[in-house]
Amino acid sequence: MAIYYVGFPLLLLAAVFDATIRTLLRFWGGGPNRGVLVVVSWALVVDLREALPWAVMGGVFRDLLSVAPTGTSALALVIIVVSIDQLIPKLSWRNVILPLLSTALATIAYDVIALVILVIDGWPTPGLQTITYVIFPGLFVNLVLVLLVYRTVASINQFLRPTRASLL
Amino acid sequence: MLQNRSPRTTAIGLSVAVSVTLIFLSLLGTLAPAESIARVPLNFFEGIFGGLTESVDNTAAELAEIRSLRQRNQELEESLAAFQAEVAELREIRSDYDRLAALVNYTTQTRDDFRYVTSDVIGRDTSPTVRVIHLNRGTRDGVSVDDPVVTEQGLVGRVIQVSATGCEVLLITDQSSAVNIRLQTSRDTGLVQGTLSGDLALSFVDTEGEIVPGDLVLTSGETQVFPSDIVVGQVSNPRLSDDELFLESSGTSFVDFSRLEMVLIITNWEPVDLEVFEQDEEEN
Repeated sequence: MAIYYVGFPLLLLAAVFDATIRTLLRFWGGGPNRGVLVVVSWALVVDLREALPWAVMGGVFRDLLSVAPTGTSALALVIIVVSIDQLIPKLSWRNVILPLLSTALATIAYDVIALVILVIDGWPTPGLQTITYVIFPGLFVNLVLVLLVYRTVASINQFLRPTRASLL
Repeated sequence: MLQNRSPRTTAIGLSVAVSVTLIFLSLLGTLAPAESIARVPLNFFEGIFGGLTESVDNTAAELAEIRSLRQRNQELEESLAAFQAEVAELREIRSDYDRLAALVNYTTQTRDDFRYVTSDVIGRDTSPTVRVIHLNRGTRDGVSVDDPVVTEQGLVGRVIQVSATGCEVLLITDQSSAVNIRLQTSRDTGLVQGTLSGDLALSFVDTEGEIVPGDLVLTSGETQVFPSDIVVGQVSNPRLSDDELFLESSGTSFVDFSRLEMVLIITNWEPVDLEVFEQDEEEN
């Protein structure tokens, strides 16, 4: 249960940071998506059933600070977490490249899913400009930050669940 | 293996079901009261971190700008002298206007009649394609949906959602925003829309009209979404539209939307209800 007590404030902070500190880390109009970074990093270090509540919780917090319908980010993050869970066994190189690759795919997937739901909700379709002004800049900032977030989340997990020592 | 798969599938199904249900309820508006309550503590945290961000951002900007401040000060002093002369002339015109308006009993809502509520910008929308800011004023302060939001530099946007302690403002730079405008010099009317790049796009100006580069763009007051004569921005690069039916142009707002810290909400703007006329047309 400690995992959920940690997840709640962490994901709440990630959403609030995205709405406030995001402006300090902008690159070419795009900013980091800490919700995606935290949830992807968490999905890489824990079991799917532990990652899913984080995806729903993080998504709802994010949507409460957005004009997007509540549940938009939650659905996007659930799809991302499930996809990561399916891809991990097929990849043997669980190292620095894995978080980078997962983040790249997750950022693109998140933006596309969120955009589709926003269009359904009646917001205008930005078209190709989305790639130039939103997806690529956001992707760049996320890739710069992901290793830091991944290490932090992995450390939190290790702190909460230390590996048992065993005698040979 | 089968024992493992079942709870996993259940967890996935449950998560997707919760998310999809939330989306539907939110789209239908059923969640609105709950969302409004849930936003109150989030707005509180936004206010704290928004203040911190503002301080850091200001310090960095001030350090970067300190070199150019002396030269800027000199330029501003020269401009001030020119403007003081112009203000004296405009005061004369204003007194003539007031006198003539009184003679013909012409009344209109002017800027002096507006009631402003000052508000801090505490956050921005987490959706990267949407240009919406969060303010720390809500229904408790008299703010309501559709209230215009301005700064001393010009129009910022309008309120689209309100909770007890906060509100969301759709910026004029958002793609879904459209403002009816009038060009200051030629008096031609048109429409200003936002773009994803953050610039403004001026369109639907009659081909017989004229767009002068550098001309000021003001709200026209048509459709009554915004009061008239609020500065929207400045035009540049006028051209004929692709279908050659209208003139169009790029535009720049004087408001620096990436550094917005404080805004004014006009809380007593009462637009004329034009829906009555639309209903009459439908009936006819």
